Amino acid sequence: MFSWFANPHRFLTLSSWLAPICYALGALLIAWSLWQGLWIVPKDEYQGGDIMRVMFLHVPAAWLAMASYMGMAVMSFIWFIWRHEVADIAAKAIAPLGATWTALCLATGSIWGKPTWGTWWQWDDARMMSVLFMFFLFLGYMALRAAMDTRQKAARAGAILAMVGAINVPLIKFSVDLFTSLHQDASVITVDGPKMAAVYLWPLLASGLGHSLLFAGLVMTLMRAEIWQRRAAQIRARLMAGD
Amino acid sequence: MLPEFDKNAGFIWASYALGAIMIGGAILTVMMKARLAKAELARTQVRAEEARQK
Repeated sequence: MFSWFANPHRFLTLSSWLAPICYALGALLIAWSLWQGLWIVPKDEYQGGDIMRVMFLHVPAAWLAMASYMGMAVMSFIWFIWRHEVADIAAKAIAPLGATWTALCLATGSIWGKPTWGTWWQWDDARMMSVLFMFFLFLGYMALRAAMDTRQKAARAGAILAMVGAINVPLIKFSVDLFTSLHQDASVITVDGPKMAAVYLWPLLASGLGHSLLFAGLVMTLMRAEIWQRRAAQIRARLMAGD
Repeated sequence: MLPEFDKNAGFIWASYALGAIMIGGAILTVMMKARLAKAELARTQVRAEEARQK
């Protein structure tokens, strides 16, 4: 199956119609969840009043930050084992976007934290620090790739960092259970199912799906750009060699 | 018509403004990069075709 997807030509054909669908559906779902989150759902006094509306942006950003890191690690693993070029292109494309959504998660969490906990940031909080560490892993991955002089070395070094760093993802998820944290416990993805009222849960899930689709569309577009760049580089190399 | 929030309205709008800037910026950057890469490939293919004809 990996080999079928690993063909760049097949990927370009597939993504030419799949990416626009992801953009359209993603935009629709995000718009609906924003309308619900900002205009329709009642404020929750238990969650600090209206400030809980930040949830419809912060929580999807947090989910995507973790999912994108896992995506990058899985793609790196596929490249590492099977040497499929498209997997490396995918891992490379996920990194800057994953860093963006992780930064958004950190920033919105900090803004939510100020009126809720009375502080923008807590340096000894396991949840905050593990997410910040993941943000640095994304930046480190990009810097490491950029520092290598060949594409092969960049892919290998990046893949090793991405795979080793994946150990941080379950640590983020369970940090609120394992350590003392200002952050509230999980309320959607739990063993006993969601603890949240349906009026909040559905817009939140729609926002999560919308952000995921938008993210997938952007990754596909970045991958297409990378494939085009590599093709142009190959043609230039052939021209230089007088082929 | 914008919704009215309690005393924390500034924090809520700041979050969503930041989200719009960051996600909008990511979309613009990605689209620009794809457009430039496609144009670069097209230019290179024309050059290769010209070199072949010579």
